[in-house]
Formats: sequence, C-alpha cells, structure tokens
Amino acid sequence: MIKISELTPKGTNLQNSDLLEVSVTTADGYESKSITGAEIINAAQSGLQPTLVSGTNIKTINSTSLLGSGNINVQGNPRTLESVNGSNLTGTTNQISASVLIPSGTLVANNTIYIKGFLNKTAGVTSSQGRFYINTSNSLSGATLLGAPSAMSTSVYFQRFERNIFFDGTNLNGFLAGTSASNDYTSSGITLTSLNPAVNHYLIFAVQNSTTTPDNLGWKRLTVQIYD
Amino acid sequence: MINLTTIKDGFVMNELEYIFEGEAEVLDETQAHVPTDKGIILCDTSMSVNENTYTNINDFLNALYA
Repeated sequence: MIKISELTPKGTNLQNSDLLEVSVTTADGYESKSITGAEIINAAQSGLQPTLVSGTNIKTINSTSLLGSGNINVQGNPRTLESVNGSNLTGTTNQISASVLIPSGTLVANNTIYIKGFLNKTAGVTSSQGRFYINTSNSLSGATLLGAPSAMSTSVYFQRFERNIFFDGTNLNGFLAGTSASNDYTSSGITLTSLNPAVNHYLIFAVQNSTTTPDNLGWKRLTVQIYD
Repeated sequence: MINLTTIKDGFVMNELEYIFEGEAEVLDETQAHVPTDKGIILCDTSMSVNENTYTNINDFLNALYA
C-alpha cells in the first residue's frame, strides 16, 4: 500500500477533468472510489465569494466601477461644489474676495447653478459694492460680469445674496447682470453668457469700497450648488 | 498678459470677437466694465490693447474704443 504522501506530485494545477482514484479497505478486500477535479474544486470554493467583475456580479454607481481602492464621493441632487468664506477687503479697487472653481465637465445642459451667501462689512460709512463674475482663470482680467448685489452704503453692513443661473448647454441664463439686486426673486430681463463646459471656469466674487479703510466688504458663507 | 486687438466696433480677446454695446463704466483708475454682445467684460490695465500697455484706464479705453 502506498501512502498519499508518497504519491508523485501531479506537477500542474488541478483541472476539472482530472480524476483522483483511491482504494479503501473493506471487510472483503478493497473498494475503489473516484472523485473528479471539478468536484474537488467546487467543494473547495463552496461559500467563497467569486471574483468580482464590475457590472457583472457587482453593480456600478453612475457607471463608475466600485472595484479597487480609494473613495467614491456620492452626492445627491443638488450637489455642493463648494462652501467658502471670502475675505473682507479694504481698498477702492475692485478685488477678489472669494472664488469657486467649476471644474471642466461639471455642467451639462439643464443644470442650474444656485448661489447663496451674504455680504458683510464691520466698519465704514461710505458705499461698498459686491459683484460676481465668471472667467476661465481665477482672475478679474477679462472676466464676464454675472451680476451684483445691491450697493451697501452708510449703515448697511449686511446683505443676503441669492441667484439661480440656468445652463442651457450653450449659455448661462441669469438675472440681468447690469441690475444690482440682493436676489432674483423678482422678474428682470435675462443675461445670456456663453460657456464651454469642457474647460474650467471660476465664479469670482469681488468687492469694491468707495473709500479706503475702514470700509471692508466681504463675501461670506458662499455656497455654490449644482441642480440637475 | 491678455491682449485685445481692436476691430470695427469691438475687439478680439482670446480669439473671440466682442462687439461694443455701449460706453464703458470706469470702476477705478485701473478697471472698467465694457458692455459687449458677449456680456459685460471687466477690462483692466494689466491687459494690453494692440500690444500697447497703459497705466490709466481712461487711456486704455481711449485706445480700445478708438
């Protein structure tokens, strides 16, 4: 009799078609039994998770595979691009208080950009003006004006701001850019601003004071959301 | 530096034509809003007009609207 440990190794992986034969001692001699490679493999894999194949035995999220390491950030509708506090700035130059990047590929037709926040200043008695623009670089040079809140003069230190801007696939459709208003609750003409969604764009929030220190207007709690 | 090339009733910036739709609004000594068919564009003296630079926005606008 040969022990199993004394058998010559097969030398290759077990195949479904392999056949293992053994003989066991019985009361009246020997009894031969056999088991196939497939039966051994199935028994060994019983209860184990099969290899995951994206889209086959594991679902995807928005067509993104779940396989591999790292995080997939999942947001609903709307999704927040950024929530940021801008700087309170002194000086009579129109300058950037805050900016929010709209990465390329973010906007698609029928999206709406929703902007809310407020402006405040902690000192000063003359007029300060906020404005917001869009540009392909984070710079006011060459930027296109999208709108402006009301001017803030004398004792006006605080103003809430809110805008909806619809993207039709070619143009941003917004409240009349040349009309200063805290929000777009009221009716107005429309300003169309062309936008190529395949490139980065920055929403730029600027402030300008009519005198130097102490007037110090700034944008605060700016939240930019995208609605499908 | 962004250069603006003047054309009849407008200018070219980044290979796009902009047609004037009104007089510029001066914001300060270096900046102005220029109304165009593509919106109100912020122009400033960091930009050039026909490769010429200016230190004062009024001189810049005179060259742009010339």
